[in-house]
Amino acid sequence: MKQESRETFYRQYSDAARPLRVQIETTRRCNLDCVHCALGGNHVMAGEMGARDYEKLIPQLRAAGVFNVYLTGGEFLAHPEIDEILNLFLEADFWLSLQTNGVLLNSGHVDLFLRHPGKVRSVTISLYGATAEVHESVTRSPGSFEKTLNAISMLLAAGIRVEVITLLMTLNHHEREAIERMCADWDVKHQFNSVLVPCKDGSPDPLRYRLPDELIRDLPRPWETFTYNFTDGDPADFKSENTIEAWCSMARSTGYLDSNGNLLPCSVLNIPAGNVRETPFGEIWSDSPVFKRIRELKISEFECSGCRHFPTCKPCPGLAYIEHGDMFAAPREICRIVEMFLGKKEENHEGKEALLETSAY
Amino acid sequence: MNAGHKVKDLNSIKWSRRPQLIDREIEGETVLLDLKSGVYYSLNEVGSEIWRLLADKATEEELVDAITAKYEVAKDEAARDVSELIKDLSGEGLIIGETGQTP
Repeated sequence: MKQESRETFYRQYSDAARPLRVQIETTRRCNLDCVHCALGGNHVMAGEMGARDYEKLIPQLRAAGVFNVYLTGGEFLAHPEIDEILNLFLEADFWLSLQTNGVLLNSGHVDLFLRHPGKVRSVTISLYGATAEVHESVTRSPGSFEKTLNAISMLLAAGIRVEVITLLMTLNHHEREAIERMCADWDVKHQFNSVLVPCKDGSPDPLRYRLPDELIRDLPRPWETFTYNFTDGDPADFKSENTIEAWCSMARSTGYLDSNGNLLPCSVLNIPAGNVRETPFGEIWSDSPVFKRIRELKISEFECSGCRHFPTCKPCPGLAYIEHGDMFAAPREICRIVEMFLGKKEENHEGKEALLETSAY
Repeated sequence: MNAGHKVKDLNSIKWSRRPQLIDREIEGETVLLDLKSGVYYSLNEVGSEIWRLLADKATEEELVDAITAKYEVAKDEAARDVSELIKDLSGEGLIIGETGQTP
């Protein structure tokens, strides 16, 4: 018997192009009406996968070697058959991570999690403010703040690991520190992000809430709570002829299934490799030209490879694709954030190592 | 151990998998994930067969019999392999043993 460190194990899965984690958008429905939503109000898709589809898919995921399933949405709990779907995944021995606004979480869900000890790895809750006024200015849903806090309390009381994530924007940035204090009181991990992207249909509406440069400059450092990968890593991983696998696991060990059953490389790189209702998951994973091409992407193909901030900042094909429709372009919002970060560093004459030493990934 | 303490017959111990473990069989090997620690383990083909048998309770002797029935291997060799794996698995807390004796 061999015991594998997590890093070694992940590397083995990646080298073998074997799926370890699949993120599943159970539904595009949502109970909230957030100002920044990337779905742009397009909350229902015809032909959404149902419990019977998941019943067929689950043995395929197991056979392919998938351990981790990350349920997201829309709001994943808004799927009309979510109780049955959750039960199917838990009974089939998956290690679940859940992303939710918490509003629809009830004691029945928590009881279900407790009947499967350890199988819910974590529940990540989106919290946009430390007060109802600010949180609900983002969610545009009265009462949502109290329900989200109730969900956090219920999960913590049950001993289930909770993480909180906050997307910072012009509406809520001033409550970041108060949110961090709340999370410290709950003893839960908090992460923030400030990368707002256009809607999946191309609408720029969410961009009006982006933090201006001066507010990005004021974000705290080190950025261990910022959910974008700003680490230097091993220089050997960043030779121009290398693939991007040192920091991007898409199509190697991770994939994204949308609510219609389309298998995509990641949540924002909307290039379907196939549909699991037509072709078995393992076949799409192994044989699709899209995934094969993604696995061959070389650093030299990306505009970012010539940037002075590479490899502290690394190409993100998904964010580039959603911004430009071109995965090889530089995602300008990331460029803006990095310039602000590094600009502050230069002003303060700080060392690069001290500035960029941490990462949330 | 106190002098005179009666050493338990290892074959009286029934071994089975501990809860909060999940596994996948991939290309003849088995990968185990301990949900408590987040640690992954891998088992070769024979180890995978033993792991399958440990879905039900089994003594080392029963495991050896099952392995010699399935693979062309001498009983002594199978006994050594089974004993070593049981020691590893129990050392990592991945299996639990019951003596079957009434207290």
